[in-house]
Amino acid sequence: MGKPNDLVQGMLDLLILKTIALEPKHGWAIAKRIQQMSREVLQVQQGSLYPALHRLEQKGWIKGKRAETDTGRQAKFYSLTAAGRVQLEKEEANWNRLSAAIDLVVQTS
Amino acid sequence: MAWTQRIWMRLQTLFWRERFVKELHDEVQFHLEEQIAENVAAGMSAEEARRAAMKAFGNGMLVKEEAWDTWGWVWLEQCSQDVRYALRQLRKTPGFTATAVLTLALGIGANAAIFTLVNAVMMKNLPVSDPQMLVRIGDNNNCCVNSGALEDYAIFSTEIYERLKKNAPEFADLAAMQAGFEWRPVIARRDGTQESARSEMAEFVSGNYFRTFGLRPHTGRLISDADDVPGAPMVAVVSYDAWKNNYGSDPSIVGSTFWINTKAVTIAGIAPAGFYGDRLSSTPPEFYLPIETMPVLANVPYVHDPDVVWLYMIGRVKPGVNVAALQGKVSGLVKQWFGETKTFSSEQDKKTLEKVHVVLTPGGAGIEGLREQYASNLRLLMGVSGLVLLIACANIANLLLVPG
Repeated sequence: MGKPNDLVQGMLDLLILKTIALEPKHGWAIAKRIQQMSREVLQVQQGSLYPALHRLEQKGWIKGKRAETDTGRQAKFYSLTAAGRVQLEKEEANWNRLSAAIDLVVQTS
Repeated sequence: MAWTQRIWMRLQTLFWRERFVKELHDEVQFHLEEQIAENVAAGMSAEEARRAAMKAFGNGMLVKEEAWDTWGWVWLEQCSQDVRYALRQLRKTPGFTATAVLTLALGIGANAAIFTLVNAVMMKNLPVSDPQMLVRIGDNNNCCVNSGALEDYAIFSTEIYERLKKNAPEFADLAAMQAGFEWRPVIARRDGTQESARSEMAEFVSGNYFRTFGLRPHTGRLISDADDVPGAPMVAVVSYDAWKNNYGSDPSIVGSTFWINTKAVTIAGIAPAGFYGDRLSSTPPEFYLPIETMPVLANVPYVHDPDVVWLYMIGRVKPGVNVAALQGKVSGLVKQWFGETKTFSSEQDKKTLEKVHVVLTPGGAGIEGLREQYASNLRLLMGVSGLVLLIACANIANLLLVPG
């Protein structure tokens, strides 16, 4: 039913966590980054990005903080917390297992 | 640590809702502006760029709603909305509100009042330690000084009490108390004061009375077995309430001499606060006196008469005792001992003797005279007040149906 670039919720969490693992980013930059890294294949719907960010913040995995952007504007930057780092590792492992399993099925049948 | 922080964050969003909403708005706004800037850079006109950005973003309100939802306060918000709506409606119809509030207040008030009474008379245990281990011998309120043949005994002679105390080791302690103390007040006056003598309630109790109930004295000491032997120096225990109300909480009362029915009695101590005796009574005992002082103090001939019954008994059973078996045993003993008295000497009474028995009842609430007297009335009253509340609710339902 969904559009081809729709992201399953769990995957979006993983992508967000991964994207901000290196340095804190604001919402716009996170969406942009995911788009770029996936070579325009993955389009993050803003409608799901912000609720997802708040959900992750509420779970204590990421932390929002106001700071200035390069252009001198105020924006909310999200960074990974210690708990978020653990969660990221978990989700990565999970994803590797899952994608390998799907690969197996798709390749062999 | 982490979850306390999370709760703190959630509470922050709840109590600083304004700030949260503003931040969320700024966040979304920033995103839009970045998108617009990008679109302009790609060669769109300002207006076009703005429209494209809005379109790409989708429903901004919805996004904000969803972001807010993740913090889990929606139910609370909806609740408070409902409450506010209800209050607005009530304010709009003051007549209805007043009627409904009054009706409910009366219904609830009546129930609370009756339940207070029911609780005090029927549910509360005596303020003693481990009331559930207390067992009363007898299930009726035959009073006060009695003789003649009965079948179901609850009131006993001193002799039977003393023999039972010796022969029923299932009781850690077995206490006896005067059944009809309310009918036999004493005249008491403190020695060495100008106070006039006054009529006070006094209950004659066995030496182990306070120990059976597991009570500790407020001051001084309580009556002990050594006080309850013929010829022992006469002592009394004052109830806490009497000490407070009649003697101004004067601590020097302990050890002082009182003239009780013109005989000198030493006050051994003060009973613990809250202890109102072994039964609910409008005239609780002000003095507790040992049974063996009764022939002297009250000048009665029946204390050691085996044919006169005048004592109630409450015992504390040892843990693990089977009360049903104990009841059989006590019934047998009581029947045997009554057989030795003159009470059952006539042919007619000998037939009655065959049926003599006792019923053991829970003694945690003490002698349940009031309870047995009023139980059915109180139940009726409780039921009626329940109905009143139901009718009140029905009336309000009716009111709601009236087209406003």
